[in-house]
Amino acid sequence: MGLNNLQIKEAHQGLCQGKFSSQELVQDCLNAIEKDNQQINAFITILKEESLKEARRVDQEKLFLKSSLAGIPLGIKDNILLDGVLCTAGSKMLENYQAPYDATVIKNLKKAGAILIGKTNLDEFALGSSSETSYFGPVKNPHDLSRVPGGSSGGSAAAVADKMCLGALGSDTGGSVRQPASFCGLVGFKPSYGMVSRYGLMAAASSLDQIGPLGKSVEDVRFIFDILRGSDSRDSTTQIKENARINKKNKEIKDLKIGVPQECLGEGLSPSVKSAFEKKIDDLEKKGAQIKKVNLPLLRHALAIYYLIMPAEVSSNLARYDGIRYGFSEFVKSKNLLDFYLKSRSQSFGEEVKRRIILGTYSLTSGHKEDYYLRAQKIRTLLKKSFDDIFRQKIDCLISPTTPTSAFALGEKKDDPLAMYLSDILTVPANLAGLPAISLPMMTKEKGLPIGWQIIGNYLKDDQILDLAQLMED
Amino acid sequence: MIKKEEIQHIADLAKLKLNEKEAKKYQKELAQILDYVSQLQKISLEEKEGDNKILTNKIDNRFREDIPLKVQAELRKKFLKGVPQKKEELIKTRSPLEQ
Repeated sequence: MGLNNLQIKEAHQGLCQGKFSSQELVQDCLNAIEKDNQQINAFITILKEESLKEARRVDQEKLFLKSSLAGIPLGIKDNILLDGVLCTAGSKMLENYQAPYDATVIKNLKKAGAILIGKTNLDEFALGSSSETSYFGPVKNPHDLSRVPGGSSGGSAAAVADKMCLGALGSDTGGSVRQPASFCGLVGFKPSYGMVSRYGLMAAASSLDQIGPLGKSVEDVRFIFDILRGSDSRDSTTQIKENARINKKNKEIKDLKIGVPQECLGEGLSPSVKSAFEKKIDDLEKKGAQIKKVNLPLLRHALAIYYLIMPAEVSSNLARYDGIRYGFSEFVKSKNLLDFYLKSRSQSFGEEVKRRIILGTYSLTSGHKEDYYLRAQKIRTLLKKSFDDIFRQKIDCLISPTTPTSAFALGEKKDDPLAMYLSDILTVPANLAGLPAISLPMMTKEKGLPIGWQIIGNYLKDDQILDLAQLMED
Repeated sequence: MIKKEEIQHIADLAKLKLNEKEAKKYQKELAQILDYVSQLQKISLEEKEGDNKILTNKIDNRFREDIPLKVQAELRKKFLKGVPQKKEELIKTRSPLEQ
């Protein structure tokens, strides 16, 4: 068995006990990449020489004795900047863009001695739910190559699921870490808004974006999260007191009061997902947890709120790609400034990116702003308040399926944007309310395909949610 | 239904140039999406305290002095490396008026 099959904790122990070196661990991952990447298309850039060199340093200095991530190979979503390395965001716009500095999360990982083995494929500018909109071609699901791995962090999920690395970073604006984790049989965590610095993450929708880890177990995800988290003067949303790790006494399943929002079990759920989730509830109940049906009527409207706010923020964030300071540039063939903008943007943005820019611009245009964007923001506040009310009833967490179906076929929803958007229906509420949420794989599968379930916690109770997830993990 | 001229107007604002085929496609899709999100129009927003505020997520505004940071020469070089068109350390673009 290759060392790439290990979980992070096992690999860390192996390194500390001298059973193998980080160089051997990295080599096994590189072998898996060499063998499968052409088919799965999980990585856009592979940092072979750099990772082996860094692994050598970790081995020589025995850094694993000081840090649990030292010598551990991780994949990084290609919308997070790594100094001197291409950062494409899966777009023709940034096909040749070399990052000029390290994102704060990358700085933290480098300091911890993690091995950054490559940059993973994604939906263009992280806008998508299937990783099919990448300029560098679609990512395939390692469990079934005719299916999507989910998105937008599909490359990160596929890379971990195919054992090309032990864990990975994704970004989650409306489910982009949790949905691919669910489709690929992994654990994916979206921290509370403000727990992790976004400095050096390409902005999609700034009031929703959050960087999060993917891994094979809750513990693995926690190892990575503990390195990522913390205040950063370069992302003012991280300046919160609760950011420090809190060690609390672990509860047992029988002490838990778990809420199940009834709105999450409505139409659109595939029968297998529904029955797998019901089985999960039964199982928790048998172990003594108190399951409480709760109602959050606004959850039914969460996707509508999301698809007004997100594109509005995207349209404004993506205005920076003007062909002048970086990226694709149609200078020579353009006759004036307007023509320069139009040509540079229109020839390098893909179809979905343009669709969201148009939708977002529409909802922000005078005459529509009141009815669409501002109204959505107000209802978002109400949704957040209804979560607050639920958590005030001494409920430890909420649970639901992560996605209405298991991984769908490549091409199945590509030409139907609304159907594609509906696959995020259960993940967007946590982003709208800024809450921590984690997707875990279920024991039950649908024709061999993984199914995920999700735990949502109260704002800034990230440690508590990770504790509970570890407790309830299969 | 959104008119095709309106789609072209939105594209102009967003600095995107759409061909006939794209404009038609987005016209149809935008209508579908707007139809879906129209469910929000039915939700009553009562004038209760705070309901009509926009989310702040308990995070206070953070201010700092507006002092330009000194950029190291090396970092400056890295940033300039990615600039598509430049003359020495200046970034080149097209004139707004040039025809």
